[in-house]
Amino acid sequence: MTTQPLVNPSASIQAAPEMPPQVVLENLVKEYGTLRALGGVSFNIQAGEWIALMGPSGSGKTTLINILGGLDTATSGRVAVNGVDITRLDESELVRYRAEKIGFVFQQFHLVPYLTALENVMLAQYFHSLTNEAQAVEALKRVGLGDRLEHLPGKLSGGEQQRVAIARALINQPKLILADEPTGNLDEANEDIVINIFRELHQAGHTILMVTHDVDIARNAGRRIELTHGHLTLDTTCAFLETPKLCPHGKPFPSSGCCTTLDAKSCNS
Amino acid sequence: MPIARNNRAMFARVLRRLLFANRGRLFVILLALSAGAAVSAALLNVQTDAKRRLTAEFRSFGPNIVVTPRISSLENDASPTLAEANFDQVPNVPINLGGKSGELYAIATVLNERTGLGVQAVLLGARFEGGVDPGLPRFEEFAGDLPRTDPFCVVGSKVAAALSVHARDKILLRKDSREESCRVFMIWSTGDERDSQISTNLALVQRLAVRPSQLSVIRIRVPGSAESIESYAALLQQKIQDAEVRPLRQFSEAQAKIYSRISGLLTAATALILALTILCVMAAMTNIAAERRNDVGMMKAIGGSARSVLSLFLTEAVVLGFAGGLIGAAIGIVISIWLGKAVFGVAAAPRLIVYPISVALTVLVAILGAYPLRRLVNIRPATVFRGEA
Repeated sequence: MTTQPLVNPSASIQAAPEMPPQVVLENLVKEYGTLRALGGVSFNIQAGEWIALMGPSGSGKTTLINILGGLDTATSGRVAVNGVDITRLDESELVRYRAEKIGFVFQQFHLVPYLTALENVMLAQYFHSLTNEAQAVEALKRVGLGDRLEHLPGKLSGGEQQRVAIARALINQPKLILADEPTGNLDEANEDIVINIFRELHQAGHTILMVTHDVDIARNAGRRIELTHGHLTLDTTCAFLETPKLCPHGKPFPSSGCCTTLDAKSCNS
Repeated sequence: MPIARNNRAMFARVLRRLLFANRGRLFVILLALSAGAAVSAALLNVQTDAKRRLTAEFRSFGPNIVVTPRISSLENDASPTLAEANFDQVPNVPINLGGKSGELYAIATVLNERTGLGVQAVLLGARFEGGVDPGLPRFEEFAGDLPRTDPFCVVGSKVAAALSVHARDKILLRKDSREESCRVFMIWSTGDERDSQISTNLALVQRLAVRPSQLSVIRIRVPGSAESIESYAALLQQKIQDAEVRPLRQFSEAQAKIYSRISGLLTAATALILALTILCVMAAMTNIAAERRNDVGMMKAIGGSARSVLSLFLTEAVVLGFAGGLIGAAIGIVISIWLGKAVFGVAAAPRLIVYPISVALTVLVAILGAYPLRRLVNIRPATVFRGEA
């Protein structure tokens, strides 16, 4: 796995501080019976950001991404995407929200096993509005699968399936890409391919929220948010460094690999 | 419109993939639906054919209209008769479907010429047009090599026993001072009053009873429903004023009752078969519903509404029902032809109306059988992805 030096994305945030955030989470709570998966999480996402959402298993990462994607509902709190509070949307509005605003990439790919690569991509077009085979072919070519159009998922490698899933996520030009451990089931070579695709997407201006356990993959993101037991414990735009040194303000670099939230200001200043 | 056409093409594309995703299961569902359609089509065809068939079967039981002398003449005469001319006024009914007989009854002394034994017996003289009663053979047609110098007669078994006569014997018929003779064509045992009768030709009995051109009764067998028989009788009554025309209601009503019972039985059997087919399809669909939870969750996650996703699966069920219906109903109609032969001895005529009805019923069965798919409507993608039930 090769890691890329991080281009400081916080520059875009600071360059236009008056821009309203694309996503606003306020005191988000999710409970499953007596289990509190999210205990009042709040943060904003600016358009064009790539955020790595990290934390141990059971910390609420997938729950957060599911609520943000309209796949699950919050117990309380507010989630506004482009100014629309999605916690107030009814089921049919959530369907349109998922179809039009969100691109999902899952760890398990979640392709329809009896549809070809091309048909899996076209299915997203079908649910969005209308199918356009030429566009779907082009999307698959962009992820390097121009020669796998008529293959069923079972005939594709894990990396190829994930690339089909990415093509499907992007086909409707979503504002926000939610990726839940997209490289979790991939070998190193395919991981590189998929991460490169995400890098290109980010450079093209897509907003990406990516759940990952892998610090190396998280280094590609411009911002890292960490959850522990449903609470936000880290939110930093600080650069990931190849060799741990000192944070810019002189404090020792933490073992987690980046400076703390409080350090971010000085880091970016 | 190209947009709509594109989406319709995609719908058809996904549908085709759904249908052939699991060929083994496709075969099982098609087999269940085809079998259900085949049996229901066969029963429906037999049911539709049964009315016509029963009418035909009842015809073999004998006449369904009788013409008798009026009651006023009964009061004045112990052996009332009506004019034979009335027989000719009865409109001809199709010979292959019905017929009429003119009959005259008389009591005479019957003697066995060979043994000299004698007994009193009822004589029946009859003339026919068409087939009225298989129990009254037309002697002229079946005489074979019997000498035709004498009229033929059929002797009931009881009379034959009393006279000790056999086929080909000559018997003497005496009434008052008159005497006639006939050659025994056959001896029969019917288990009814005919066992005590001697049947012969009409002219002989008219001569013996001194009732020229007279009949005791005219029996008519008319094809058709109870209503059409009643209607025929009413028309006949208008033509024959000096006699009483009566439909034999017990036959019409019995006919209706038996048809009603057979019809009810076939309807119940059809409903049972269709219910069993629904259960078979439901079992397969329950399996499909469990298998496709993840697919539905994913489809909803990428923007598929419950309605659009379910419409795919319901259309799949309709297509399966239609295909199963087309195959099964065709097989069923062939089965009904065999069934008709087995039950009535005559092949059931294929009724075209049965085919679309069977196909429509099978489609309905497939839709009802797809009931377990309703579970997919309420699937929440996050729940499915978490691996929860």
